Amino acid sequence: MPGPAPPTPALLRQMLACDLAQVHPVARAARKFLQEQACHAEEIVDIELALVEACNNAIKYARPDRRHKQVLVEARCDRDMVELRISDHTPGFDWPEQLRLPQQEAESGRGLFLIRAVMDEIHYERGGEGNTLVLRKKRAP
Amino acid sequence: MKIETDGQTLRVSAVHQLGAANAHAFREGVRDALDDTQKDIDIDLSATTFLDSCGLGALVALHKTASSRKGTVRLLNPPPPVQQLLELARMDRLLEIVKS
Repeated sequence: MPGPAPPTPALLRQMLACDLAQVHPVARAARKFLQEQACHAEEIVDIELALVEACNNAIKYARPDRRHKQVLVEARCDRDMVELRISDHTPGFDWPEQLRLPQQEAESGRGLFLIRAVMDEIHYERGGEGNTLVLRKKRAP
Repeated sequence: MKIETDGQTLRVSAVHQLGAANAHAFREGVRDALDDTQKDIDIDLSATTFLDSCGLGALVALHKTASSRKGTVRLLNPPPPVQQLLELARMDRLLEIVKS
């Protein structure tokens, strides 16, 4: 006999316009959602940072002819894992196998390093109509 | 954001968020407030609830501004999550972090 089906993950779905000012409200909504799922404070800080960096990139590098399209952000949470999916309309890129911090006095170039540092799994799915960054973090017991 | 002058030091406080949406305005606001005699910048981060890589970039830019005047940037009393990010990005090697 198969065991009971695992509970459906809780889901948060947010759409944001291609405007950096929209990122912080989405991050606040994600923080509230993760608090409601009883995630640890340290996990929430990490996930919020990764979410913001991913959204910033999705907006900053959106293709000029697709800036009217919204960025879709989804957060799924079950008892073991938090998964973020950020869909962008950028030209896409190959996720670097190795990520290093830039020179100390560089004023940019730290975002992907920070995402890598705080999340456990990263997948970047490229497609013709858009791309999706999938970020996962295991929840502490 | 609140900016006060104290001799050769510009004191910046009430920085609630420092991210992509306001990093440019923050950097330019601080630079514009510097007069010719000031070389040091103290940034009180005790009220900061959010910092991202763009905010870090603004702090680096101000470090370069202060260095060009032979001064320094000090970050005062960052809350633990902000301190953690500063250390993760190894900004603690570039900027002095002061806890009181």
